[in-house]
Amino acid sequence: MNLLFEMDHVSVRIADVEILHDVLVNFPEKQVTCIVGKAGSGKSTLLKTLSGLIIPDEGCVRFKGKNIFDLNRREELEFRYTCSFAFQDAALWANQSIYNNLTLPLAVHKSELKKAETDGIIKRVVQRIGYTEGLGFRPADLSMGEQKLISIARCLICDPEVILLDEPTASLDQEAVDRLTEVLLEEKKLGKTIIMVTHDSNVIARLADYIYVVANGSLASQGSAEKIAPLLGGDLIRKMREFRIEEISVDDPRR
Amino acid sequence: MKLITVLGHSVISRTQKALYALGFFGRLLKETLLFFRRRQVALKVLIMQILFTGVEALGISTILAIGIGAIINVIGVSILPQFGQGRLLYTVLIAIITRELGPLLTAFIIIARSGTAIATELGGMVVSHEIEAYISVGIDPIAYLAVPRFLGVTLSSFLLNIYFNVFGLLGSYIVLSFISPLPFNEYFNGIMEALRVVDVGTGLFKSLVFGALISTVAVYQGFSVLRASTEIPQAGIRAVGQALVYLVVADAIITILSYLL
Repeated sequence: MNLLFEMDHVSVRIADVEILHDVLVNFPEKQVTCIVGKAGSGKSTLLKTLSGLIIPDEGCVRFKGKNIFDLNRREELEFRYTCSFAFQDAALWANQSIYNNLTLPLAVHKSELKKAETDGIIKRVVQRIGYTEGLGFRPADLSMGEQKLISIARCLICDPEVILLDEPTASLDQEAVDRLTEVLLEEKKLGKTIIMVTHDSNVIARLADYIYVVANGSLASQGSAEKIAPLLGGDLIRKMREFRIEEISVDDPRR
Repeated sequence: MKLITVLGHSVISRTQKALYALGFFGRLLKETLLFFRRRQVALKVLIMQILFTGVEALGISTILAIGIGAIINVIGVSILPQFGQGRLLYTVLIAIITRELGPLLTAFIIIARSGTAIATELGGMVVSHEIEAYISVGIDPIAYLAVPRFLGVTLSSFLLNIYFNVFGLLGSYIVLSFISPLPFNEYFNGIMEALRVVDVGTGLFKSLVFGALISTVAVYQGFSVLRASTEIPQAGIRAVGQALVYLVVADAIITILSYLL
């Protein structure tokens, strides 16, 4: 199994507080890795650092063996095309319509597309994730759940190889969660790499190949979902639901 | 000993900030040069910035220009003839409106409208993670957000200054025609005789420098917001305060140089 991302002794400090401490972890290619942990444990910071949105104070992040903080402009553009990120709080561009929020990534990475082709892609993606409102709205006109769906649509719009999702199911109703899970299962079958921060135990149970547990800015434990499940029996879901994740501990064969 | 340590930390911190700001300005200039060679995804942002900073400020510029022109004229017409220097009115008008007040008042208008708007808008985008979202899709925030604002404000400052000059001198004539009616040809010829290339050049150069200064400070302050929404108005305040200081310093330097050279 190929390693896609390698975090090498990464430490991140924000306002003099150490959010991540000496994190050493790898992420396999074409697998679904779920990052779990208590609120404030450093999960989102880890994911953002992985995607190059946060520059670590120490250590480095390698993507396919190359430090992502040493990329030139062309390489960075290629990296951004390959790895797409959906934010926890949607982070849509407030002064632009939903249509423009979805066309901008295409304009950057697939500028050769004609308007009809762009419109076709947008129509397919919004239908796929179950967004039914108009594309002329501004983000503020939508509910948080709808904004979240558009954020995920923006993440998927360029058909990335690597999908990074920060709490994708937060703010979504059950129907939307089910639909999104199906979409992610389809992406998984297509051989995409998915790395997501989530608290949703059902999503983890259906999607995860690997589970990484973050506690107090460090990786508390990591392992394959197959290995974790027998070790903990049916307890995994309950412990996660009760946020007793520090009790989830497995041997890590790859560390 | 403690005092020396504190002073040392302060000097290091300020030097680091100054170097960072210098680096930011260098990067902004580099991206500005590359702007016209790249695919123009940011062209719409540039057009919107010119619309907001330039076109939407025409009304207030008109009122200020006519008002200032009228005031200078009234004072000139009242005072200068007492010294037998009535003809100097045109020179005074050019010196004050074209060289000084045109670029300066235009810059004040831009600071008040666009400087604060840019700093708070960008600050808000940082807090709501919109800047990170741009980076995540491969868009460089400096190329896409800062450069169009820099170019838009600088270009608008230049054009608004020309507009201010035209209306300032025109407003001056309108007021003059009430006090002591004068054929427009005579007034126009008087202005043209008093107008020198250095006056026009200095005024236009100042407007370009002021526009560049205001936009750079506003963009820098906007991006300097880190996390909290309470930092956004502070960024706006800093953008206005710093821009005013830099503006006056730049104005003094350019004015002195223009008289020396």
